[in-house]
Amino acid sequence: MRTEQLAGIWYASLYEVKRKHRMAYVLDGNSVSDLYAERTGSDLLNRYFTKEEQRMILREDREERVKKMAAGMEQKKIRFCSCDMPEYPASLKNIPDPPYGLYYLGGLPENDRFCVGIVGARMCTEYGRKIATELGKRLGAAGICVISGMAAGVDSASHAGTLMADGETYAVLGCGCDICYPSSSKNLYRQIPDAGGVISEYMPQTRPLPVFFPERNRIISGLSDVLVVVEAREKSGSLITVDCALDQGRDIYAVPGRIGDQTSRGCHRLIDQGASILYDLNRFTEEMQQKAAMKNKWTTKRLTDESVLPQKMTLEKDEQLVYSCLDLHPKNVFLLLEETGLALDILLSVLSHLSDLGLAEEVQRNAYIKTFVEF
Amino acid sequence: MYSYIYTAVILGIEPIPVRVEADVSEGMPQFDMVGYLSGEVKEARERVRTALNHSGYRLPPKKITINLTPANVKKSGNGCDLPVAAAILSALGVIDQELLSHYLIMGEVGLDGSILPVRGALAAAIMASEKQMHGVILPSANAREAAVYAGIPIYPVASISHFIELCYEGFPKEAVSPVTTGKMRADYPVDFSEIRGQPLARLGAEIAASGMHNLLLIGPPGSGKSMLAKRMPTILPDLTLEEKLEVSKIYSVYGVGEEEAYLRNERPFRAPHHTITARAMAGGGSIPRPGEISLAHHGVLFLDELTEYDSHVLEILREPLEEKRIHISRVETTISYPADFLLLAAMNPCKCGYYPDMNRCTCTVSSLRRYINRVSRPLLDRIDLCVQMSSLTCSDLWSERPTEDSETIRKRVETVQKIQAERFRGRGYLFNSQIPSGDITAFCRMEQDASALAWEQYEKLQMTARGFYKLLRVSRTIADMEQSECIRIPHFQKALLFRGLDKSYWKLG
Repeated sequence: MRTEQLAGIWYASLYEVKRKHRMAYVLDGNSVSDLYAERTGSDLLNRYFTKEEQRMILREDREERVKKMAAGMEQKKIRFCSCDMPEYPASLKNIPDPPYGLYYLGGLPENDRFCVGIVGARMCTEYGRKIATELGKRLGAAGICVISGMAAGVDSASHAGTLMADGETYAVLGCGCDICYPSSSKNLYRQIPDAGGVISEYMPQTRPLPVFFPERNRIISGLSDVLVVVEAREKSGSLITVDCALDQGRDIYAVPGRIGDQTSRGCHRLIDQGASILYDLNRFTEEMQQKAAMKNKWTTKRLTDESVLPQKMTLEKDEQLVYSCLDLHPKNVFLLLEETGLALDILLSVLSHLSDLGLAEEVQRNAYIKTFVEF
Repeated sequence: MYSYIYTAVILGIEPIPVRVEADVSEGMPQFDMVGYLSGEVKEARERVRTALNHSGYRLPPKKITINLTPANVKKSGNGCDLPVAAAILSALGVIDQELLSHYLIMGEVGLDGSILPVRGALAAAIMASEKQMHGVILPSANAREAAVYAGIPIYPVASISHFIELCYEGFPKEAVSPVTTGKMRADYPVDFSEIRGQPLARLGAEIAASGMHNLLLIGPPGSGKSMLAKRMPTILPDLTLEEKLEVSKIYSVYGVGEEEAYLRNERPFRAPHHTITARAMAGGGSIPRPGEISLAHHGVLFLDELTEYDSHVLEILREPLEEKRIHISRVETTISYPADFLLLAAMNPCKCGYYPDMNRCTCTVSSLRRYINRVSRPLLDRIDLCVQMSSLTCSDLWSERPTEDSETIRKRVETVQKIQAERFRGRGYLFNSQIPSGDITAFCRMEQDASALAWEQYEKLQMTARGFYKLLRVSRTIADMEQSECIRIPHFQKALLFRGLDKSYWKLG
């Protein structure tokens, strides 16, 4: 590890020194390596740090502590980047309260990549889950990075979608990057470092505490060019991320739901307050590609294969009937039985056929949705 | 003088033949009872002495010894009083020993000489008949209960004096004729036609009944889970006479009120509250009595709010679900009770009850996780079918459209059960739900395209072998319901609709 990295790791671990003071020192262009090597003059020290803090900074045992931490990190393949290093994402540099350092597995988004942050409810509907997955897929295939928090629900779905399309995705955690939280995301946790990176502002082994989550949300929006909210209840944690994004000057897109959907109420409010409305996945993906091009950030060309636009197909009468009863919200078989009036045998056979054709999907036990063909 | 009388003592639900020996000899006046007796049996000494006094027979000042054999079986219950009295009277020469040795006698005596009811009368009567005795002498209160079994004459007695009279007059005259209950058909107070809407739930229930598959009902509060459960026995085929006797024996031993002591035509329906203890569920106790699982023998055991049951209690169910019996160990002996029941369970999908309706579900991710962890996976593994209850629409509730009644459904269920009886003749099991894994390939043949679908779903749903076999058994039942020799795609698709519940039902992560 480079000395400046060791210095950075040490500086980032100084919890006893106020973050504000540490950042102030760095943002004014002063050298952390100097501080580490005790080369800084006392008047400079006095300008930024209190006497107590200076005592912590000048502790004797710092070299061995750092060496131990560095060795641990090396073993777990955890890398470190502080705001004065070249790898540090440019998008984070200009936010109101940038993190001093980032610990990460895998990599960090490069400055020329266009990034979309996707957040939403943990207890989301299958509709929300599906949209998040699809968004992940399309953006991933279009070469756009997807940033999220690896939480249950929308976050996980967006990461999963991106991974399915072999895209690039980054997860920002509210705990040390060597801890997989929540445990239900362990498959994602395994795969994301190879497809992007698992990032954290907190030292390795830091356990997830409630206070860390609003803090990490600012990094999700900070790394993104645009923030998408898929589903949010009236009082939702995702709305905190939106506030951070607004502070940082990012554009907000919200996915609408039906009137009466509790899980879309937060989104509807956002739209009411001026957020853009994400109502067509194709259109959104194209818009993002255009924005990326405008900022000279590269993207791959449009999707041609896979799911987006299959040819129009002709369906039998019964298939047509069942398909017309499906929508994006999961509908149970017993409802379909009622609505179509078909015999159970026939309904099941039609649903099976529609699934084979890729027009329908069983997203929940005995509940089907129409898949995203036209939009 | 020496004499003996036959009686019966209940161990488990089985009556054990016991011989009550009486010896009256010269010696210091004493009255001893031996033979591994429990407290209430020992007390017979006081009751019998006083009762005999009241009936006009003072005990002579001699050494009276009573022994109940076999000596290594603990005698409990209140039925030994009358036999002891009879043995003494016989030893004293008051009544004829030879005559009495062909009869089974049971009864408790009151201090005034009256004969009081006992438990297990029917069971004892059946045993006496098997031993080819000439008759059974029982308290009058138990007469009707025992008389449902037509195999042996029943002689009810109301008091010791009455009993002695009977002995003098000779027996044939006083026999109670077997009760011919006009209705030998089951008569339930509820009916399937009361269930409105819910076409899938009704189909699921019929599949469960047809193949005797265990069933789980899942749905929000008020969706009709308990209502459906209570009506399950109504679509099960009528009990055979043998089964009726078995059930009646169990209830006879358990001890029920006068009214219920008759031959039971209806399948038992037991719905123990979730606060039940393991012992009450399994049976046993210091004086062994049948538990809920035995009281549900040949019937339905319904566990409402499955997540609330203590895990120890659910653990008890493992043996009976497999073996159809439960073995309870005691110091000297192991008692086994029959426990062949259809298991029905109901649960809410989450703590608030409304998952996956996100508009009504107020659960957080962690509370949902905690709820899921409380669901007993080993028990879910043993439940073949899971039915989701749908929310009723207004039109369902008020619809004039007639829904099928239990009788209609039951007839179909009986037909399908006959097919299974034929198929499994000589194999030691009766229903599709019991097909052992070794016999699955033999009996659950699928058409080629059905097979392909099966394998595809096996992969897609990440089934275990056990889960897959469950699906096949259910498909077999559905194929039987549609009179198909081979399992075809529609049968398998329907089975998938009702596949057993596992943790993938809840989408977390």
